[in-house]
Amino acid sequence: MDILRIADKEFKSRLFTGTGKFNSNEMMAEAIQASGSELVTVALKRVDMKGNNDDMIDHLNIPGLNLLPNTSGVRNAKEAIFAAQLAREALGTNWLKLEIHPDPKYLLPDGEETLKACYELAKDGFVILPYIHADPVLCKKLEDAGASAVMPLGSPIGTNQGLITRDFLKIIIEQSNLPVVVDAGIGSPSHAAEAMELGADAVLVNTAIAVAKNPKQMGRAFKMSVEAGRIAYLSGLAKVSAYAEASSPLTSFLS
Amino acid sequence: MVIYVNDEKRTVEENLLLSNLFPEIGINSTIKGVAVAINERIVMQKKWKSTILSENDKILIISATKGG
Repeated sequence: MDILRIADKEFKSRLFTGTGKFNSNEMMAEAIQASGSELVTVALKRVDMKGNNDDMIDHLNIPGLNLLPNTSGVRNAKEAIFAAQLAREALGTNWLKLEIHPDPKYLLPDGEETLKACYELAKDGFVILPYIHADPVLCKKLEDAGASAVMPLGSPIGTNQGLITRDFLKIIIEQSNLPVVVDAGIGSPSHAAEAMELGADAVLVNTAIAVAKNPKQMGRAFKMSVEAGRIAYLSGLAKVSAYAEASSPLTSFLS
Repeated sequence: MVIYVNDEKRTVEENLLLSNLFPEIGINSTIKGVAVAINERIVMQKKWKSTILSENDKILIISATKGG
């Protein structure tokens, strides 16, 4: 597999994963390892004053694994900037999944606030991977704002609907000078392979692995599909045609 | 004196050091991946032992959790 470069890091795996929704920390760690992922998202929360704080971070002590803190829960650029600074302090990384989604029903990202936050955080030395709509114009603006990759959505977070934004993802991939990571809505390995075949540089998958009956096995299935999709893209896919084109000779050898 | 930790009102001794706050409020001091802000200003971990809390300080303590 060819190497993916984002900012100062190199990745052998083009499958990024999340840590949400797993039944246990052990299961989470096993699934991440089986997926081969080298970048996992984590969120922030207020600590429990009664001491009921889990040790999930200890389970992410996996060789070669990098943390990507997110800003989930913030409603605007100002809150996102503060959350980013807290994340950097807590986790010792300047990598950030910038996500601002004030609407709880569809969790759709606020592009305007994301762009504003990106400008500020880039000046502060963050490596920013913004979660956004599959909006080709916004992606170019984020490039100018100092993002290190763009993360357009396939469909709303956790819906498993796949690439309903497919045609816009194609435009983003065609135009982007930054790595394109398709995030959100990828519900099955075939969706992941589809994104990779389109030419996405990576995908981010959480729910589909975490809620599987067997997350470890599903992690492996996604690993294989991402690799297959990437290799297929690099190999050059055959053209789609409206009419049949024979693969076998059409000579009438029986008469 | 009164301080507010994650919006919860707490009464603590005067001139309490930030580093001594964790056991005071029942937070495990070995907890990893934690960041603290006082009145919306982040206090770096190396300054926890020298930061003295004041009356009505609003302290935010966050940690990493699961998320996508």
